[in-house]
Amino acid sequence: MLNYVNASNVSKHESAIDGMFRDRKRVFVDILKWNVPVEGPYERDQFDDDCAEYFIITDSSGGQHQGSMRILHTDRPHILGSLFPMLCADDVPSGPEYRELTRLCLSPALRARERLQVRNRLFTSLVEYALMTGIKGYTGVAAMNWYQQLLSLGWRCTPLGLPQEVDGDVIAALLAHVEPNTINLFRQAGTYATGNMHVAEIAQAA
Amino acid sequence: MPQLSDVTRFVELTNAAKTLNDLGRLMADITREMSFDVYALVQHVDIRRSSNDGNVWLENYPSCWAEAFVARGLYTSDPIHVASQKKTAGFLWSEVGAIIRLTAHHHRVLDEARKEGLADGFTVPAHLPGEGNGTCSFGVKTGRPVPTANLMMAQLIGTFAFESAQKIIARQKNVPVEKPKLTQRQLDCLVLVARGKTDWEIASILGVKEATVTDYITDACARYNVRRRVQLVMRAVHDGHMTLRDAIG
Repeated sequence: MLNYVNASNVSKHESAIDGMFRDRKRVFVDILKWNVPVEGPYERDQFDDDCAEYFIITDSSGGQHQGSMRILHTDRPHILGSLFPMLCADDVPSGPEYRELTRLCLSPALRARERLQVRNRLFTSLVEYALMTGIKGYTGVAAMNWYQQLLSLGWRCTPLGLPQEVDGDVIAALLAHVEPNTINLFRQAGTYATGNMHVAEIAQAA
Repeated sequence: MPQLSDVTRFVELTNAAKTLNDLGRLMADITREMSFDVYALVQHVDIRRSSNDGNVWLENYPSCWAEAFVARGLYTSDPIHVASQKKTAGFLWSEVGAIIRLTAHHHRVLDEARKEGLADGFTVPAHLPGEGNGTCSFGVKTGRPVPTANLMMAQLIGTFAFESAQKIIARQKNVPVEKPKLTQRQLDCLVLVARGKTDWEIASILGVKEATVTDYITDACARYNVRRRVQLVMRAVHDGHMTLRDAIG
């Protein structure tokens, strides 16, 4: 099940949010050894505030966290603008038409095939959400293996700067454009997997 | 930052590229612009099969080297390829000994490459879950320096070039590849083939004639367009017709 969560409806999605923060700690802190803040069993940083939005996919039977993504407004403090502006050769893309995608987290409990399905559902939902709300593109910072995966989703991407080595990882910033033909590009790439987002959830986001 | 604008222009041109030949020309041009001499963009899935089978094999290496590489199966233990599986970002060929433990065979492959005039270079790995993995390599001829100032640019070019090749192939195929179907009886035989049984043994276990078992397996090979049983078993496991556990027994 796809859950759209923000400050106004978080009380209805407590278990999804709880599962997400726990898996974020498992993935980013325990497995990937990122140097990010930890709150008990949670990985949670200064950007997880009242303005952050989340797409969370949960198991339809048990409600377990399967995958999630954090969406940040680019006209407020966000990862690329606040922490990695040097990854952009020009100005950091910002404003109401751009959002930043961060903390893509796939549950370590998933098998390879399920990981791809959950990933595809998350990104398809993000494209549908953007098309319905007037978002023109998503920015993001990624290590090169994830950068390759982001390109492979099929959408048109523009590099925002040359890669740089940061703490032993080669990372770079990119802008993924959401355009009328993006759904079609996903279909061609074989990554289209609708998340069945409901209009009621979009209205909540507006 | 001229390097980034060159990458952006390259990305726009590759978005318009219709065939792998178009992409190959763009690759040859940008390779020279970055002060490398040659490139090779390869998806490492059985590269002896032709590129219209959905795999990428695009390069302008010295032809004698490329032929030897494929014909003599050097790629099966090409140290650059082996090292690329351990890396998520680009690496210099001169660093390969720090990434993997080089065997005598690895040293021979590197020596032969050097003899053919390919001394040093930079390889960008491309790992895509569900798609296998690949590399985009940029080489310099013996005696020429690696353009170290352009490595991050080469990293980005390699990443986008690999994706461009995937898109071109997907468009050309236009239809998703159907996995060959196997009947339950074929699968019963195949599991036993994987466990090392002969046709006669399989026939006794399943209670059918030996010739029938042979027919089932020959037909399954035909469906997969492979000649040997070991290929059939590998493909069936890869496609999910059976698991490794089934095969081990």
